Amino acid sequence: MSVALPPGAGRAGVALRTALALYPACYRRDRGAELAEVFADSTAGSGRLATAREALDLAAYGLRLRTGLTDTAIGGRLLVAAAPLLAGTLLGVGVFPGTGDWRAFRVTDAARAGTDVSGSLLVENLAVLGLVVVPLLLAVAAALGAWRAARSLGAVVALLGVARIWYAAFHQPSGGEWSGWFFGYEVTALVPHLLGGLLLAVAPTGPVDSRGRADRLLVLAGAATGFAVTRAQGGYDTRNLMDGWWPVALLLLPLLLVLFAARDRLLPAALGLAVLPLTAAFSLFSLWEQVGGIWRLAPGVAVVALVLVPAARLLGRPTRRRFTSRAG
Amino acid sequence: MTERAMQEPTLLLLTALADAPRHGYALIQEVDAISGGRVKLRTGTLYGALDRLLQQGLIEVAAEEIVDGRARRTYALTGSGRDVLATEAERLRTVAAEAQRRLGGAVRPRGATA
Repeated sequence: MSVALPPGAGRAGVALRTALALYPACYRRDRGAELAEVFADSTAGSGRLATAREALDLAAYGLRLRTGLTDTAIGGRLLVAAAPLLAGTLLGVGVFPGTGDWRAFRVTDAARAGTDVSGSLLVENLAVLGLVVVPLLLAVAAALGAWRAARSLGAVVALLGVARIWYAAFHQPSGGEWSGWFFGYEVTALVPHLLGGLLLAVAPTGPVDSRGRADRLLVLAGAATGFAVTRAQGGYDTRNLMDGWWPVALLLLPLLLVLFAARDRLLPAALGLAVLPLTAAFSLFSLWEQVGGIWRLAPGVAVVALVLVPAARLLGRPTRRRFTSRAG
Repeated sequence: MTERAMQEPTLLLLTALADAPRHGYALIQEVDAISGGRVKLRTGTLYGALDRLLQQGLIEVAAEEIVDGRARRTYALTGSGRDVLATEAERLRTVAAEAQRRLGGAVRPRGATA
């Protein structure tokens, strides 16, 4: 079936065409005309807002298909499996006592600053405090099986991370001058929130969302892992860089675990995916500091990629989804 | 799937297909009617659910045709889909019957124990 827009589609036609462009070509060839008809019927006589909502919903499913994040694709199922662990790790990474993490001082400062500060600093302080409070709410929502709320809170965590990066990009740090190095350091410290929050926000809503007790245990396990990893890193502090093989192990181990997804072993893969946002940035930062520059690190990264890509192919089996019309 | 409660949109879609095969827009209308207007499926959401149910083997494509120049694919329940729906309906019937029985019992003062 080819996609032929209904006559007189007008503005809805433009929205439909844009939404359909997001679908993989094979799916569009197979289902495009059918989607167009259902869209036309659903939006007939509707106002602009209703049509826009319908188009957004259509586009969102196209993006999910395009990125492999539907609830039946391996990527989507991996995210669903990793979601409780991710919610837990975001909580664990914010439990600072005993980890020697410099972020604890920043939180105390923000809490004491009050509201009598400049507008941009107020945004920064609220973001700093938000990154402590929202992961707590997120973990509670995940433990209670309120996944719609958990996903929204994941998006909030990522947005708070973006707000902090905006502040770091345009404002001088207290007691120092702005530098690219310090900005990079601030950004890498926020990677767990940016990546973890984003992964949670885009996780698909499955047919059976809440897994009850299993979810609560996974949230707890994630929180313990998040705390342990932050502690193993000695807090996010350049004065306390990891030595020897620690950064390599904390980078490679999660990556290797994620590869289990290729064999449909989702639990170890989910554990790897949940831990990766916590370890990747700081491990790379530590390695970069140890080897003395990003270009010296490049050969190592190339070697790791050369090992991981064939390993993924070796482990993998054909997972490309066939867009068949019929079941079975 | 039978071990846990089925999500409402899935239940409504399977119910909409229980008496006859239907095409996409007819399914949206049926789900709207069955749920008393509470659940309004959008096109993307509908096709996400249909793709999942096709993959799970609970529904199948019964016909592909062009009607009045419009592409139309009709979906139908499979035997396995019918079994899953029957099991879910029985589970809901049991819960509903128990709720009715308890509601029909003697009215106790608030806070009183059995």
